[in-house]
Amino acid sequence: MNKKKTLCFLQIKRAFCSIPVIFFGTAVFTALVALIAAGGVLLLSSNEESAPMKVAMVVEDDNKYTRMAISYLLEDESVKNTCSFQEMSQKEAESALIDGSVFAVVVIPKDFLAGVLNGTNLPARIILPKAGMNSQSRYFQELIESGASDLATAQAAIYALGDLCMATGIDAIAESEDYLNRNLLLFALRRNTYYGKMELSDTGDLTTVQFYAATGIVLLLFFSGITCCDILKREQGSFVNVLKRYEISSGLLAVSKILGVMAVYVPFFLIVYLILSAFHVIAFSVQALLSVIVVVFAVFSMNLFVFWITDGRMAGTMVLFLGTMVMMFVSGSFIPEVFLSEGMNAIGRVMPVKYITGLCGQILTGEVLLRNVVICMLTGIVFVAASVLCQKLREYWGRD
Amino acid sequence: MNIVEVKNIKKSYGKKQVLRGVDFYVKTGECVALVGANGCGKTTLLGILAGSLKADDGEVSYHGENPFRDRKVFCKYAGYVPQENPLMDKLSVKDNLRFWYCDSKRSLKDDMEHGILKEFGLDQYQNVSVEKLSGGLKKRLSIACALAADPQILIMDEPGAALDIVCKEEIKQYLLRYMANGGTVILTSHEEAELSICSRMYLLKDGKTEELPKILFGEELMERMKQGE
Repeated sequence: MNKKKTLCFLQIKRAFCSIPVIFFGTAVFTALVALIAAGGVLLLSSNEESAPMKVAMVVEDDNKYTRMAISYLLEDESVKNTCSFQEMSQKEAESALIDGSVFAVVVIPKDFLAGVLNGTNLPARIILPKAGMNSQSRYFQELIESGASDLATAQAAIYALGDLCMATGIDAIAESEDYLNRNLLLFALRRNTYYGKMELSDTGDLTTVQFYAATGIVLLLFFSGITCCDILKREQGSFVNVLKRYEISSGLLAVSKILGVMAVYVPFFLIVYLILSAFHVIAFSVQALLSVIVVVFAVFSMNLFVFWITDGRMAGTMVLFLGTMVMMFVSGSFIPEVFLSEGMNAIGRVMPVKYITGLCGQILTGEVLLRNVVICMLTGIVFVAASVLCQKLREYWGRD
Repeated sequence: MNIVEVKNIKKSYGKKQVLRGVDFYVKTGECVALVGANGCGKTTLLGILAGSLKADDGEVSYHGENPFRDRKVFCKYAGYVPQENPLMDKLSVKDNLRFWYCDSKRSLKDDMEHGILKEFGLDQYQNVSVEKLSGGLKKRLSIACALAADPQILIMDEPGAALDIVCKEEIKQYLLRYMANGGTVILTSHEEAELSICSRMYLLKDGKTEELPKILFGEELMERMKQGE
């Protein structure tokens, strides 16, 4: 075996010699990552978000017919699924709105029913919070406004039919109004018939558990860089210089280091992947299997770069830890990007971590996009090249 | 016969010129010392001689062969022991040696049983991780690594630095045996024990070499280094 092959072989052996340290570190970081992931899953799957909106109702026009109309409305399935109405006094409703326990207040004004009957249509007043207006408040406002608009249209149709019957002398005003009443309101309130059904998720194509599993795996790989620090760190100048005598470049040294670490991590993750797919926890695909290698390569090349540029265990560990946390947060790996500001999303889009986490998520679903594989592969190559450049610059300035 | 000839070697790091035209020669079987103040370029010069650094200008020849044209000439003639030990931690003594012996005509097994490695006492530590070795053992291992290719010239950068007197003496004794067997040594040092085995001495100052008329130690050497400052 020549020196280049021997170097690669020894780096792999070096990584295997470090397995006890790697496994201990991995166990510690797995616990940390599991804690973060569990917190995230709990945050995103909180029942409060999916429960019907709480709305306070103040009934100023308190009479038998208004009550009948309200109960008719509240008994409707689609309204029940969307809103949970609680009747309150004006004062109670205002304080509930201020403390955030209700999303909105609907005030049924005095003479509301009379207005409906005489056609003046005195509208129900909707009070929304001035601050903290969120998507649910807007949704509710839209819902009420469209409902009022439908009611007004239905009412106009009923009056027009009554006028027509009277003008033409047809004695069917009651039947025709009942008919329109039934059908128009039925049509208006079953708004689902207008739309196709589409599931929307703040975690994209992934379930919340898959989303945080992907985040956890990538975080674990980055933090594994800390336990593999002795292998990944830049070799002292004397060793690098002696290697040069044998025409062994910094590039080969960098590649041999990554190969060494990958020789430990890739089989581990491949075995985990095969076990999970054998038990149908995740979908199996050859592309996903190969992508595991790409993810490990991309992450460890970034780890290598951190340790080569910082040139020290302590500094490298700190930069790796903080850098990983910041990059993952900005790229929407902790909190989905829909909850982040536009500015943060713009920065996140240029973070390689976003694509690495994305590819990891795709491995879990079994639907790997070639674009993500290419980006992750290029990320790995760029960071290895940057590490070598960093070494060359040190040599140029005589720092070794 | 001159085994090493160095002519007009120049080297800069960025804008800083460290070597401004170094000339010297070394005869077969002699020990030559390069002395000079810290940062004067001794390590850079040894790095160029060993082939781990590239000179900006100038010529080096080993036995009349130009190593700048064929880099294999460096490894063919010279073994290099840098000041810091060029060893791979987390690996055993044997694994480190395996790397340096892999292209060599010498046998690691033979050297471990009755050769240089036994002489250095490394046979007892062959399965010990390098990071657990003492400073003296690490230096002996570094020298053993440099000798794996059976070189005629040994280039050593401050071999006794940070070692105790027993280790220094052992290294000195080994170098004497190496020269007695026809080996040539080029070293940098400030240690009297190491300088005492040298036959000639060059002072590296302001990026140029000057051959001193005799071997100087201690205050005499210090005075000579300060002259003209």
